[in-house]
Amino acid sequence: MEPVLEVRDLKKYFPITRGVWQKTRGMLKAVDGISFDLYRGETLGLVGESGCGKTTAGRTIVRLYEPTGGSVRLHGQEIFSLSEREMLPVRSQIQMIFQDPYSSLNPRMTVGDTITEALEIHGLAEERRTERVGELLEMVGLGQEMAGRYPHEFSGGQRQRIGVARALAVQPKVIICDEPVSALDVSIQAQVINMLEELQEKLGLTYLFISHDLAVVRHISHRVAVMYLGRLVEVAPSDQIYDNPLHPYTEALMSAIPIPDPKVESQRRRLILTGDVASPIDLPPGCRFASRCPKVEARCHQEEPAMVDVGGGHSVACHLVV
Amino acid sequence: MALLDIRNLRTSFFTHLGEVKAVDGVSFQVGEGEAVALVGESGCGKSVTALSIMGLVPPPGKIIGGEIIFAGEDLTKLSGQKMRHLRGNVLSMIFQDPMTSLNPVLNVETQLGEGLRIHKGMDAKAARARVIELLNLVGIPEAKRRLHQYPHEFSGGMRQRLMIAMALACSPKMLIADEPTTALDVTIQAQIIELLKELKVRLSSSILLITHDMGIVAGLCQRVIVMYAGRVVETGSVEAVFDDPQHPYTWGLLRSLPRLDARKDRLVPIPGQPPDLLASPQGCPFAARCRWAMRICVQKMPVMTSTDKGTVACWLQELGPQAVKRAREEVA
Repeated sequence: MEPVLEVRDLKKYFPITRGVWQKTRGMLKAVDGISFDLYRGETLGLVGESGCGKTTAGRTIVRLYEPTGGSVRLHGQEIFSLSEREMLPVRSQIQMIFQDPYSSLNPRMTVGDTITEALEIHGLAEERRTERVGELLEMVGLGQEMAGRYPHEFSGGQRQRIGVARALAVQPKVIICDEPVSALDVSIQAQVINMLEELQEKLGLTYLFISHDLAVVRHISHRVAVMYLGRLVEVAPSDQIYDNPLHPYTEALMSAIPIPDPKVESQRRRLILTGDVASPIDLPPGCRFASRCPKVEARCHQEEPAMVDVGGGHSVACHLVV
Repeated sequence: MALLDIRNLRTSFFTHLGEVKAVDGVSFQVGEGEAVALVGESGCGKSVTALSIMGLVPPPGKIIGGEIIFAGEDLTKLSGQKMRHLRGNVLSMIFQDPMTSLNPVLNVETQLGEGLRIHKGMDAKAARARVIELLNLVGIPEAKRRLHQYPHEFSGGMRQRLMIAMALACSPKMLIADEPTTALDVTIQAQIIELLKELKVRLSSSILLITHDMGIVAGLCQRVIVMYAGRVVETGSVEAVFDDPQHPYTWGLLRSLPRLDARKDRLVPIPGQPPDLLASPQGCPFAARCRWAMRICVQKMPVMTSTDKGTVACWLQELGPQAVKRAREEVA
């Protein structure tokens, strides 16, 4: 199967400047060489803890940040070499949904105007824009009569629906969802997750689902990629990664998630990590997880492990696995 | 007798839009050495309940009714001075955000020792020894060197440990933890939960844990109180609430959760959204989102009734346990 999106060796460094002259004193390697493919109609979950670079990765893919290196191909077309003008049609194919439904909508624009703006920029549906806005709002479970209202009149869950409607306005193929349900309460979170799943089935959408919540990611994703300090450490089909995690970090992450069932919870043994997280400014030479890894060996401090395919669509970057 | 006995507590915020009934007739108890969870979604009044106990409700909020009996004394009637004597001493609280709840200009020794000097009358030397002991207790390495460091020199997880150490300084009878791990990463959260579990066994303090995460409740607490729109809707042992929940809101809460250890085809969300607390409905606050709502539900507030395993405020109970069970299994 042809991938919709091919990400190769993606890098994004942020310079660290100091002093009056803003001299560069170092580089913060937020995303440091990640590669993956995204296939049509699937959801790839990108998980990791705060500061691991998952959000930066999502934003760099759509060039909200200019990449430091690597390549991203959409339907075979390289997009990092395109000019801003050439990017416009590409942007209508990859859209983004943001975490905070409060700050990602313009408070001075009605919901209808927000969605219309997206249509205008991409020159879509010129004759029947009002109808199209109505359709989009219905699609995300809001009424078309809501088009005249302002963001503050909506709850968090409804605002997230508006964000989805805005993304869908330009008929994208791929949607990058950056923590779309993290700010919502569980009962509302379930509503939005179900909506995203239904839209995927109906419109054949492909999602890159960025989240720190592994239970949500397991529920929604077909495949999961685990990120640690700017690198992918493990990629596998969703059930595989939960039933048979190979990387010690993935294992620790899984065992750390509390399960809402007192019987299961009393039987579980936690793998508690000790040690400090390495700094993304001053990265150690070997494996980035070595400072916290319970199974660490001498070579882990010297050589950085490469991603190895262990079969069945499961790959892992750890010296101890191969 | 229970250590903490809250009776019909009502706390309202008087805003320019009108009275917001954040806590509207809440009653529950916490026994000596017991770990109780107060769960519910944002805006259900769980944090305001905690702040009411601590006497820290910010204006324009005010406790307008009810009693908070702690160790035989009604906290709502205490003077500011007496309350100050209790806070941080026998009754202490861990807040959600460790970054903003520590004083950035005080070093660890001064910050953690303050309560010891004030409440326990310790001198600098005794206080320092106790602070070192506390840092060891909560698992902060190199305690001696850390004494002179400031909060910004600690990571998020370590700061939360400092908060816990500070709360435990005077060996409180009761510890209120308001979303103690929400601001932390999961691997750090796991460390803090393990720490709380260990401390629960070692110190025999009562814990009131306020959280929206049912997973944490399952691992740490013995009893659960479920709140919705400023009211308690269900209470019971952890086993009872998870295995045999009685209130439709609790069913909804548990069903809408994705789980790490099982694959569900579809989540079952609760339709709609919580009511506006400025204009609380006359009947059951959950009626508008409840698929089993009857005529009486919108007309009259259900009374708290006892079941064999806990208490619940729901009119479905009038139809008998079989009907409740059938209703619950209807969506499963």
